[in-house]
Amino acid sequence: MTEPTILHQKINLPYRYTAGDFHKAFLYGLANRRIVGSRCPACLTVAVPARPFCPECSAHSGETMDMKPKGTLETWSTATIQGVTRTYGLIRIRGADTVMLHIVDAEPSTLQVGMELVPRWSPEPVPEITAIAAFIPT
Amino acid sequence: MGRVAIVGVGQSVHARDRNDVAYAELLLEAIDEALADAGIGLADVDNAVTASLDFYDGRTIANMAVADVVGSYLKPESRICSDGIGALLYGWARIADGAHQVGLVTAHCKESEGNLATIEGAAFDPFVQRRLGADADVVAGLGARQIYASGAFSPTDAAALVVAARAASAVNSKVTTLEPMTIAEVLDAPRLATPLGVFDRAPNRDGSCAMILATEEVARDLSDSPVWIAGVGTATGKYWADRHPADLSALDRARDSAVAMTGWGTDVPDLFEVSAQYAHQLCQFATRLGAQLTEAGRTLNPSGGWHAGNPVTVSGLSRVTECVHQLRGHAGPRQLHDAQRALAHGVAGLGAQSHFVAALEVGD
Ligand SMILES: [Zn+2]
Repeated sequence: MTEPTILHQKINLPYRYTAGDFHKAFLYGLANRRIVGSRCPACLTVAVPARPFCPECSAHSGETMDMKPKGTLETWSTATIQGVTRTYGLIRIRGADTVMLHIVDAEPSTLQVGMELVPRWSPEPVPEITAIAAFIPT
Repeated sequence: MGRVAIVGVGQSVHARDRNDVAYAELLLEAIDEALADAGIGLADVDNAVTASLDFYDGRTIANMAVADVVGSYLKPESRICSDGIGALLYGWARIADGAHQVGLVTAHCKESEGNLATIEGAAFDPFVQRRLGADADVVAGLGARQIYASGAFSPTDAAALVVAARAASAVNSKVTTLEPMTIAEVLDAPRLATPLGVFDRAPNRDGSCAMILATEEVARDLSDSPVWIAGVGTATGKYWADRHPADLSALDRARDSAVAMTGWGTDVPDLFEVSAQYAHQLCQFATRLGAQLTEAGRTLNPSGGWHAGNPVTVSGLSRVTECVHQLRGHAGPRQLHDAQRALAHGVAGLGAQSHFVAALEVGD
């Protein structure tokens, strides 16, 4: 009785997430190698990725807009997660008031705040964030 | 609005694995201690507010699995999926509005039981972030680089807080004593998510905390020197990716509304118990609340704080517990001289999205 009894169980929990119009616009934009943002009708904040509500004032987003497929690096972090070492960055797409998370494929010691990055598109034109394989320096 | 006091506090021992007890029994340790401290029984409690997270407990509506131990059958029972200090604010409101007299507030978590990578990964936006495979440490690392680049704090400042927390763990019987470390050892440790090292993140723990709240009338009956909840405040900031890590407006709101309820004016509290899972955040939050980082282990986190070893969900309520011990003069080897006023702080969410502050005091 001195050894604890540990029960090993697994909950299998698949989900189907309905994207909604604004996330759909962003994701299908990626499948067509476009980066789509949204503009707030109230305060004109431009958010990238496009999303249903303004991150500044919570208004329902008004319209989507095509962005230039380039941005600048604001910060980065390199970590080894489940055996894979990657560098993640927060990237400000040109013209956006927000930043987006993605993988940055570059030697971390060469990275600098404000450096220009462009997407390296995945060969698979899927409506997923992974349609961009990574952002890379120009 | 009625005055509310904390009349009993209790904690389990917090350790990496509490394989000796199931989570409801882990919570019992804290509840038994809090009831004994208050000098009442579970039947004297008229309502309960618990804090837990379903993903960690591995069971939905996990508060139903502790309804027996918190004695909430046929009583008003509520639960928050956040830090336990949020449950304290909720429990305070129930008594302050006159509807209840004696409340139990609890928090528990066993970080050792689930798959932390899956649980923390589920916090990410499923549409545009989760598939990228980042984790909570990456979010902290991205923020830490911006904080360090701003020059506000350095990795050495953060490491000094880790060193102080580890030293304090030796005089806190509710946490596992950690190996002492130097600043250089913290700075030179393997990287967690650059620029953060593995000791920048508070250690993962199993543990629980409980508290008894009461009306002024009940409190004066039970104690000669109740600890009063002088003010409370909470606010939630933007989602982490939409919020610069230096933007502490949610913390400001929480602190300002708590302090505005007190009669403290601009006086600095005698002690601060501050929650942050990552050391650079502790530099930020403690400073913003008005504490001096050089006071770490003394008037800033005499308990050692989260880095001395508490689980997520429990840390904020654990901060309140230490304030109560200090204000009563019952903190043993950690006791500060003449502590009358304290600020306890808690945080929840990816990238420290929500903040909670409780202002506590002793005296008439
Ligand atoms: Zn707006």
